[in-house]
Amino acid sequence: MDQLLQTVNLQRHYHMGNSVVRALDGVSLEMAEGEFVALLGTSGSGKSTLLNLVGGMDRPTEGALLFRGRNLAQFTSGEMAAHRRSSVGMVFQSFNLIPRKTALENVMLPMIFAEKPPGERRRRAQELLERVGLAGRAAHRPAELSGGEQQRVAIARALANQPELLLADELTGNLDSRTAAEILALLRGLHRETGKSMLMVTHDERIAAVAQRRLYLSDGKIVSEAAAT
Amino acid sequence: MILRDAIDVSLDNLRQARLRTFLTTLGVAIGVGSIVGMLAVAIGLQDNLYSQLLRTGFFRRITVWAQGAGGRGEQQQPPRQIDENAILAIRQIPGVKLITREARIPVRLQAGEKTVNTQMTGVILDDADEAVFTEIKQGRFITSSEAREIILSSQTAKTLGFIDPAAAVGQMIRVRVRVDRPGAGFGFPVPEIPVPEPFELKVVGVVERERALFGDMNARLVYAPQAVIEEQVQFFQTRVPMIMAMVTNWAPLQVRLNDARDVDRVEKEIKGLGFRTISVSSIISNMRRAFIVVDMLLALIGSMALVVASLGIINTMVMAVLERTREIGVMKAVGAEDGDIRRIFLTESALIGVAGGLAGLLLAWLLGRAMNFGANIYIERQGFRAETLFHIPLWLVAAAMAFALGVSVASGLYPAGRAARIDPARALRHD
Ligand SMILES: Nc1ncnc2c1ncn2[C@@H]1O[C@H](COP(=O)(O)OP(=O)(O)O)[C@@H](O)[C@H]1O
Ligand SMILES: [Mg+2]
Repeated sequence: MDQLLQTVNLQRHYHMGNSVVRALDGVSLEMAEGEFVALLGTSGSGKSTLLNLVGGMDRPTEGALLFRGRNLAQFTSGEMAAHRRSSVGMVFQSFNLIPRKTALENVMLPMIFAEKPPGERRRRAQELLERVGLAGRAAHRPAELSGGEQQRVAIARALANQPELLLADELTGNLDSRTAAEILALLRGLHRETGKSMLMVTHDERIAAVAQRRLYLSDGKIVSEAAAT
Repeated sequence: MILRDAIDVSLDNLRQARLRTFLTTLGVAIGVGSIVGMLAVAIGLQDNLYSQLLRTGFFRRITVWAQGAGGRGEQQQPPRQIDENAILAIRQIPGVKLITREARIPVRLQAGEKTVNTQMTGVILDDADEAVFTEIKQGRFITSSEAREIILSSQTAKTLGFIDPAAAVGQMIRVRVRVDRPGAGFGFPVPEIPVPEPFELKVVGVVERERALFGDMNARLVYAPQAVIEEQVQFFQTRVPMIMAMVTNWAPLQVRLNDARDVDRVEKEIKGLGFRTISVSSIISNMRRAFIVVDMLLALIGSMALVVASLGIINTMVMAVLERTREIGVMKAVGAEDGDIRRIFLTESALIGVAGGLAGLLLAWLLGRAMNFGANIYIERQGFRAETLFHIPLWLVAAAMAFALGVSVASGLYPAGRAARIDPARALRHD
């Protein structure tokens, strides 16, 4: 299988006054196209930091981060935006929907920045909402949706510009276990149907079980790896 | 991101904080309104004054004098008299409407037992609109250029025994041309000269006196139709042609133009022919310069309000950036470029500017209408014609809108730049 992602000695340091926090301290990993990988670790181990680097939200202090062979560390800010816009799609623990926009408008947002024609935006957003099971909720605002429904909208939004890689950061962290299971089932279904690559961050072994491969992060380093059981 | 979407997103954001948007826009409206209002009043009053001055005709007139031998400075010119050829040459100059020679004859007026020595000047009916005759105190203006009529000054009327100038109107005055010193002031020897018969003119009006522009020496001047004066001049011309030619060729010409704006050019051309000229065009250009300074000062004062409004925009936009940090993070996370974010915020402040500009123009217009209305009630009660005191020319509308837009976009630069620099990873951290 083709390689999608590779990091080489990836470092991300935060300067806090006089001390330096090494949120990532030499991460080297590889991910193939179509893989579903879970990134595990305790709170503060650097999972979100790594995910943000892969998502083009942040830049490494040192090391290389290759996406399809191109080093994100050397991207211009415009290239970073293009990467966020069309190469990856991100889903967050706190959904991060825009409160005053409807579900449909939230899903259309990435397509506005991709300058897709308005008609196409609406059609595709409607399709995506159907796919995540929210066909009847298009006109609802986030406050009128349950947590699980909001996260479905967020997943639809992440898929809007047909990214190659879906990134999820603790996407069930704010959900009860039954809803969490539904969301995970949705992800697994999407992976099975479309073969889309997925990188999922969690601190919960049971959630990580949906992935094909698990990476364990501790103090900014990959400490072990396990295949699906 | 295409412009339409930027406008949609911006409008959505502005609607989100209705009260704040309204207050900020109101600030811009007051700023624009005060600039436009002040300038409109200034322009209105100046146009008014200017057109009234132009109406007097003084500004359309150039006085041409003969040039003595020598001349000043380097230009050694031969003496140049104002003869038939000179008049023809001046008539050729484009923009010249009418050439008249200042015709003034010394006369003795008699009413009953009282007499007065003064000068009588010819009136061309075309002058009817000139200032001196718009201020006829008693009676009316001369009816035709052949009428046997005379207009006295209030001072001559008094000397002739009419304590109340109104009493002079309708009286017959006996006029005798004084030949003791014809061509006075020119220094020509005067031989024996025949005397024309005295004649009678009917007083139709009394003027207070000419405006201060001519000074006090004109306070006694009386006016009769040009034909009456020419009749007398003709008398001498047939009997003593040599002397008359000498006198008249040195008397000044009055050159009247169609348009006051041509004064400078025509004056220069006449000078080029070798004559001395006097006009009041320099007064106009000085006046214009003073107006521009006044306008600029007023605009500056008005701009203060817009500066305050601009601080309002900056404040509003900085607040909006702080409030929407997370939302900006979301937009960046789904692919917005720094430029997209900047564009959204600049569009927001530009929309505030445009709305504020339009509202400000409306405000100024309403204020102006009210002022015109109020002032004209007073003016008409005082017995004057209604005037447009408040005038918003099209260029002022365009300039005000451009200014409002410019100021608001400039005010949005800093907040928009701040929004564009927001770090998405930091904005979306949830601890
Ligand atoms: N913007 C930041 N500034 C300073 N320290 C940070 C910042 N982001 C993360 N960190 C630190 O980096 C470490 C890793 O954080 P994070 O990647 O969020 O961990 P995780 O997602 O695994 O809980 C933590 O110690 C955290 O405090
Ligand atoms: Mg985290």
